[in-house]
Amino acid sequence: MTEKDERFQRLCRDELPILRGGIYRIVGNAADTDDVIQEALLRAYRKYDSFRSESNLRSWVYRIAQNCAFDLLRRRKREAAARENYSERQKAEIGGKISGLLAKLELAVAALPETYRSAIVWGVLSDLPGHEAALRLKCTENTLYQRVFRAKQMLKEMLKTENGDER
Amino acid sequence: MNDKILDDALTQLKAEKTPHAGEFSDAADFERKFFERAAREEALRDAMKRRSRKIFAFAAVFALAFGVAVTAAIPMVYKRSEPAIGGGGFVAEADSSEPKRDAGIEKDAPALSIAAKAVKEYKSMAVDAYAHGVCYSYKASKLSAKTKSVVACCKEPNASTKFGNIMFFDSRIYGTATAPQTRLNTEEYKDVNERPFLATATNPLSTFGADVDTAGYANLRRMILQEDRLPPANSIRIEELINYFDYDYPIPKKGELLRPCFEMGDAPWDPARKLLLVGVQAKKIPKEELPPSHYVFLIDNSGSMYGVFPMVKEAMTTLAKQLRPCDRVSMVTYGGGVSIVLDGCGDIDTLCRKIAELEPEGYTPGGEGIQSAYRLAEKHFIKGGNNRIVLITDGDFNVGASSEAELTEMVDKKRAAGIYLSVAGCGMGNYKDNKMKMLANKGNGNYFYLDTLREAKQAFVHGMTGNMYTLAKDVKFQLEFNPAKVYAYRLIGYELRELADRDFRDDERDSGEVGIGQQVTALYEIIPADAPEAVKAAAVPGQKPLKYAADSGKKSAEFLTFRMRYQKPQGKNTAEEKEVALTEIPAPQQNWQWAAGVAEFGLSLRRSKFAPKTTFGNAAKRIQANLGDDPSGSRAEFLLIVKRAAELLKK
Repeated sequence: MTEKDERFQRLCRDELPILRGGIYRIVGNAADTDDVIQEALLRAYRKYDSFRSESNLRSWVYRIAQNCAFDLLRRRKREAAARENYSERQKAEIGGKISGLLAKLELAVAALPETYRSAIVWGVLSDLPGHEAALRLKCTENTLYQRVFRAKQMLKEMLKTENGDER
Repeated sequence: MNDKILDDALTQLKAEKTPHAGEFSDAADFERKFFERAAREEALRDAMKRRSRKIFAFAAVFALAFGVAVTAAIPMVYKRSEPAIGGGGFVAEADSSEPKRDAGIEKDAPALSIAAKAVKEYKSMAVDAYAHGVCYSYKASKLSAKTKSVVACCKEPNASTKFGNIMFFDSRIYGTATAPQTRLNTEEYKDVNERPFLATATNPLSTFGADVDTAGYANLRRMILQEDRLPPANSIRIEELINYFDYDYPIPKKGELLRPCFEMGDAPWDPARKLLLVGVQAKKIPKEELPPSHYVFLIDNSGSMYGVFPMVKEAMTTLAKQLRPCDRVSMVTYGGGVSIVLDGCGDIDTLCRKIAELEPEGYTPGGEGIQSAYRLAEKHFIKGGNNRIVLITDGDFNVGASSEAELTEMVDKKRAAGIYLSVAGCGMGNYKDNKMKMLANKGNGNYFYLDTLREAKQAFVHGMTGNMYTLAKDVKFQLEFNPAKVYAYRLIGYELRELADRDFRDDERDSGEVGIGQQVTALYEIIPADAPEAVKAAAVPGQKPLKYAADSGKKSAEFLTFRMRYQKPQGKNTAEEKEVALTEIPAPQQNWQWAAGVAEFGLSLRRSKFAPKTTFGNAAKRIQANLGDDPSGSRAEFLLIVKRAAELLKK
C-alpha cells in the first residue's frame, strides 16, 4: 500500500462518521451524503500530488466535501422539477420524524447562507470541539464563533417571521 | 424567540436529527468502494497516458469485441447490484453503419451486433430509471439509418457517480479514454454529393458562398497522421483543404474590401480540361486599428475533453496574452454544471489564472452553457465592436436545448443582434462534425478544428484576426461563363456552400463570412468550347445544342464575368456588389500549382467519379515541387500527409 493510499484509508476511518454527520445535515439524505463524500475523496485523491506540499489533507477534504454538497444543492435548485420533489420529500421527512419548532429550525438552517450554514453544522451540530471544527473549516476559532453567533441571529430572525407568535 | 430557546432547540436537533445508523452503509463498505473507484481512475489515467504515447495503434478486432462485450455486460452487473436509484447522465451510442471501405475496425459484424445489444441494454436501463423518477428524460432513437443512440438525462448530475461503472466505458461521458480502444466510432458527417459538370449553354451561372473554414483539413490530418486510417469520403471537403493554405494574392487597393485574381492552365489529371483558379484576398488591418472585442469563451469541460484539455488551455493562455487593454473576455464552462468563470474581465493575469484552474469533469449540459454564454455576450455588448462567442467542444450537446432546431434558432436570432459564434472542434471518437459546422455557419463564425497544439495556436493567435474579426458577411460569388468559350464547367468542392443563382442578390439569404486578411480560393474544372466532341459528350452526357439559345456570347471576346456580393458586418442593407469581366486569364503561377496539387489529392482521396485519373503519386510530385517558402511549415506537413495516405492506401 502506498503512502497515499494509507493516508486516505486513515482519513476514511477517522473522519467518515463526522463527515457523514455534517454533510447529511447539508444534503438531507444518506445516499447523497455518501455520494458527496465519495466524490470529494476522489477529487482529493486525484489532486493529491499537487496538494501534498500545501497543508492539512483533512481540512482540505472537508472543504471539498462542503463545496460538493453545496454544489449539489444549487444544482437541485436550478432544476425546477427536481426541486419540487426534493423539498416535498424533505418536508415529509421532517414532518414525520420531528415536530413543531424543530422542523422549522431544520428548514431555517437549510435556508442560511452557505458560510453560516456550515458554521452551524460543524460548530454547533457536530460533536467536534470548537478548535477541531475551526481546523476543518480552515478558519480561526474566533471566526467560527463569530459566524455561529451571526447564524444564530439569522435563525432567530427567520423563526420569528415564520412563527409569528413568539414562544 | 430568545437565545435560550434557540440553543435548546439546536441541542435537541443535534440529538434527535442525526442520521440513523441503518441509513448508511457499513463504513468498511464505503472505504472499499472508494478504493475501487480510485483504482479505476488510476487505470483510466494510465490508459490516457498510453494513448498519448500512441501505443495501442493496433486495436485488434478482439479488443473491440471484448470492449463492447464489457460495455454490454456492465449495465447488467449494475442492475443486479444496485437497483435503479440515483441519477446522472448516461448515453449509449453505437454505430451500426454498413462496413465501409476505409472505416477500419467497424467492419466487424459480430462486434456490431454486440454494440446493438449494448444500446438495447442502455435503453432498458433508461426506461427503468425514468419509471423510478430518476431521470427526467430519455431518448432512444434512430438518429439516422446509421446511428442509434440512447440518451438519458438524470435529475442529479452529481449522482452520475452512481453510474461509475458505466462511465468508464461510456464513450460520451469519459469516452475519449476508451473510445479509441473500443473504436465505437460515432463521428458523424453530412453526406456530400459531388457536383457534376454543367453545360454552360443551359447553366451559364455558378453561384456559391464564401468558405474560409479549415476544420476539414485538421480533421483529415488527425485521421491520417494520428489514427493511421484514410478518412471516409464524406469527411473530405476539398475547398477546406485548399483554403487551409496561404496564397500569394494581390492585396486589395485602397477602398476595396476584397480583391479577386485568376489563373488558368491545363488540369493536371486530364489535359483535355482546364483548371481555373479564383482567388479572393480580403483587406488586412493592423491589430491596433481593430474595433474593441468582447469574447465569450464557452468551454466544454466535460469528461470527454480530458485528453485535449491541456492543449486547449495552453492555446487560450497564448491568446490571452495577445489581447489589448480595450478587449474584454468572459468565460463559461459546462461540464459537471454550467459555471461562469469570468464575467467581462479585462485583466490578463486574472484571465491566465482562471484558464490554468480549468479542469474537466462531469457530463455535458451544452444547451444551458450556450444560453449563459449569450447572456454574458449581451451583458457586455460592445456597440460597433466585435462581439463573439468562441465555443470549444467535442460537440456533444446532450442536455437541455439540445434539439438542433432550438439551438440553431437561438444562434440565428443572436446573430441578427450582432453576436457571432465561432466554433473550435476538438477531441476524437465522438466528434460531431456536421453539428459544429452548422452552428458556426448559423452564427456567422468560423469553424476550425484543433488537433495539435500548433494548430490550436495557429487558429487562436495567428489566425485570430481572421477567425475572430469579420470583415464582410454573407459573401457570395457568382461566375458567368461565356458559352462561346466554355462548353461545361464543374466547381470543385463547396458542395455545402452551393447557392441557387437567384439567391445571389437575395440579401436575406445567409452565406459565408470572410475575416480580416483571409483568402478564399475556388477551383473550377473547365471543358473549353473547342474541346473534342468525345470529351464534351463524356462530361455532359445527353446535352444537345439549344434551339433558341441567344448568340450574344459569340460577339464577345470575354471568357467569363466574376461577381461578388457582400455586406458590411454591422447593420442591414449594406450590400455591395463588384463585377469584373475577363478576356484573358493569366497562365498558372505557383498559387495555381499548389492549389492544383491539393485538389488532386482531395479528389483522389474521395475517389471522385468526375476525375478518375487523379493519383496520390501525381499530387505528391506537384506538391513537392511547389513547396515555396513555406514559413509556417504547413506545406511540408501536407506533403507528409499525402505520402502517408499513399502508404495507407497500399496496405
